[in-house]
Amino acid sequence: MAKTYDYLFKLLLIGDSGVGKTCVLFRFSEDAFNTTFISTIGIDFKIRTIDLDGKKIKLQIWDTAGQERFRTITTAYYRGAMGIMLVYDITNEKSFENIKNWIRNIEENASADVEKMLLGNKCELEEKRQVSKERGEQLAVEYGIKFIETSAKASIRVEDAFFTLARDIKTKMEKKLEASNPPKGGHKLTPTEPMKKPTSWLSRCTLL
Amino acid sequence: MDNTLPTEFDIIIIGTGLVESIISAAASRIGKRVLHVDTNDYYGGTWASFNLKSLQEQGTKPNEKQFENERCLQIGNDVFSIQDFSEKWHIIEHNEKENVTQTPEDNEKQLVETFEDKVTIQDESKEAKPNVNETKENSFSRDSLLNNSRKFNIDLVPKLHFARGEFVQLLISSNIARYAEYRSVSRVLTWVNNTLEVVPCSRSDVFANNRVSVIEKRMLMKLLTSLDEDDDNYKDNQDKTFLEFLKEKKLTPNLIHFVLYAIARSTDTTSCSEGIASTKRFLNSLGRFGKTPFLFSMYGSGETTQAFCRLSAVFGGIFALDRAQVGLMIEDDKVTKVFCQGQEICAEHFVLGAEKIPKLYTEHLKVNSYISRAVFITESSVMPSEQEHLTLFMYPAENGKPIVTVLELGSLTGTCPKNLFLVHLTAKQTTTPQEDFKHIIDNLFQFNDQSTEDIRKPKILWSCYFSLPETNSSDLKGTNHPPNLFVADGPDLDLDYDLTIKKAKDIFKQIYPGDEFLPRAPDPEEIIFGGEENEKENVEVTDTLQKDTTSLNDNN
Repeated sequence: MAKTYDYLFKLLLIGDSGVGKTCVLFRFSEDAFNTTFISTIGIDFKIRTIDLDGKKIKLQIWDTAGQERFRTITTAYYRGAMGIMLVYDITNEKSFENIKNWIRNIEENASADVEKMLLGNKCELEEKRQVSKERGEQLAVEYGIKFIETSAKASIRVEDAFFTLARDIKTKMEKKLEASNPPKGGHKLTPTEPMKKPTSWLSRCTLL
Repeated sequence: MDNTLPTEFDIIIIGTGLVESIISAAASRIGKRVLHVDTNDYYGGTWASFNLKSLQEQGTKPNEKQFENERCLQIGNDVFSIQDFSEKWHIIEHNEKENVTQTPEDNEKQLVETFEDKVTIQDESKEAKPNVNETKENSFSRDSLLNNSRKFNIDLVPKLHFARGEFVQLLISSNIARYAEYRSVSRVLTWVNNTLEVVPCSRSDVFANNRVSVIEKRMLMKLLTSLDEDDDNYKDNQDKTFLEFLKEKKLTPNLIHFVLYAIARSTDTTSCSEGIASTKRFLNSLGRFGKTPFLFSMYGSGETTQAFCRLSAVFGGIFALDRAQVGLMIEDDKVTKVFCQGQEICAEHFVLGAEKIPKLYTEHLKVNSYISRAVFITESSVMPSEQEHLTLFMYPAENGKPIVTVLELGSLTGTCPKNLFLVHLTAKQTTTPQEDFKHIIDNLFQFNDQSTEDIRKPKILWSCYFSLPETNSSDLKGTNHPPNLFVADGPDLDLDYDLTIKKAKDIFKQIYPGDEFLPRAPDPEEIIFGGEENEKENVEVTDTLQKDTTSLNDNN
């Protein structure tokens, strides 16, 4: 079977509960908005393949599964992540302040060269705004990462955000590939792997 | 952050060991409201993996603090926790070359850089002139290792997985496989006639092995094929040991060694039926992934508990770690609530990890056996090779010493930095971990700080020993605890998780007798949220996603 994409990127969403991580994910993956999922039940990750400079890039975007609520995100969640969207809610000061804690968490658990990006979500709620755009920008500069204000509900710049993050990862990766680092990796266990009973020991040995 | 937990659940699980985590996932998966609590600030309990610094801290960790609350029974005991923890450096604190006057951050960056440079230099110098003594100057220091602390993922309970074993099947059938990645073990070694030998377990191994003659190869094939296919043959051999059985088959001592000690992981007294069963377990998993029957979890075995916890969370399980004050509230011989940091939380059923059993229930409990463990950081492999190997090394039982399972992990497993190896030793305890493994160190390793030097043996830079209580159900049944409280066993000596899964399944079936244990979780594209406003879009979305599914599988 031919591959239908050139690269596969694992992305994570991180941020306080209620900032709209799942909504951002749904807006991007399904172009839909739904306020009914209360705390991310049953949502594991979503996939969308995008075209970027002639390459097909498959984005596998993981949600926190509610484990951000009591700060119990597993270290396993961060494994192999190439990009992280740090999300806060512009109408919630606390969620903005907590970005620093989340960054510390990422530094402790994610790979050192993971691409990060800061999202100020719910920008359609201008009248309830508690965090100015300037403060968002400033924080992003402090950490040397990109920043964008989005609205999952009104579908504002969510595409932009993911395309930007994906492009940055792609650039970094291609640079690395040029430096000829063969990718390492383990086996993913999938049901498509043939489960037939092994042929006998004898038949595997052509020597005899 | 609001730290308040909801106060009503179907089941509360205390402890994030593997048995607890599997039960958590299984209960959550069938729609039960699960609260999963741990007093530790990390996942895994006695099954966890640690980075170097946190593992070292295990030795100095104070016991759980007592708290005053007459209405509840505080959880936690000393009986089922890690015992006799000790660790030791065998290298200098820091290299003079390293500039310690820099700011800590700069220093760290620089050390990480020089760390890998240094190793290359060392390797080159070794090749050029094997007897160099100046390696001392170029060698690792505590600082350089500790600055790479996060690159270590050191398992308390390292496990391997049979490629067609129950654990791998469960991962696939439940769809939990998507939370983890595995590498195959690339060679199996054994200790025979005072040398290390590769156990031939694939065609190419048989080819490569010049210690096994063509005739022996034929004998071996004949035996293994007959073991694989014929069941009746062994009814006549019930009273024999496996060794006697193999001798009757007129195998050469060499072959008997491979089959008995390495493939069947047996001893001279193992019964024939047990030996045959182990051999079959090995053979049945050949030829699926890589050259050997075994897989190892990337980033360490501790990731496995987290994979089950993730599934539990995806289906609504609520997780709360680092809760210092946890106790059971008991009325009329039943647990009714859990006291958790000032809150009282009710549920119908309660599951406790063995190390969380309240002292009251463990007072008269004796642990019958322990697991001896050692972990070494070494600067070369026991059997150096051009490519990095993931090695399982079966050290046969000898002179009253137990069978020792040795696992040597390189950087490709994500458990240690480049150019270093992590060596795990595991055995059923006969005396102390130090004593149980002493002969292996004598034969195969050397401590970096010992006076005599043997260039053939890997140097141990850091060593660590501890014991783990081997819980078994009969121990725990004697504790006389309330009937709606279930105790999850701790680590065992099985190479894989077969026993663990069985224990988790048993408890799940006792609590929810009619329900399916970990049915397949849907793939993300199968979940469609039927909101009115997006019903139309869903059709399109499903369509495009189907294309993706094939490519996902293809990729894998």
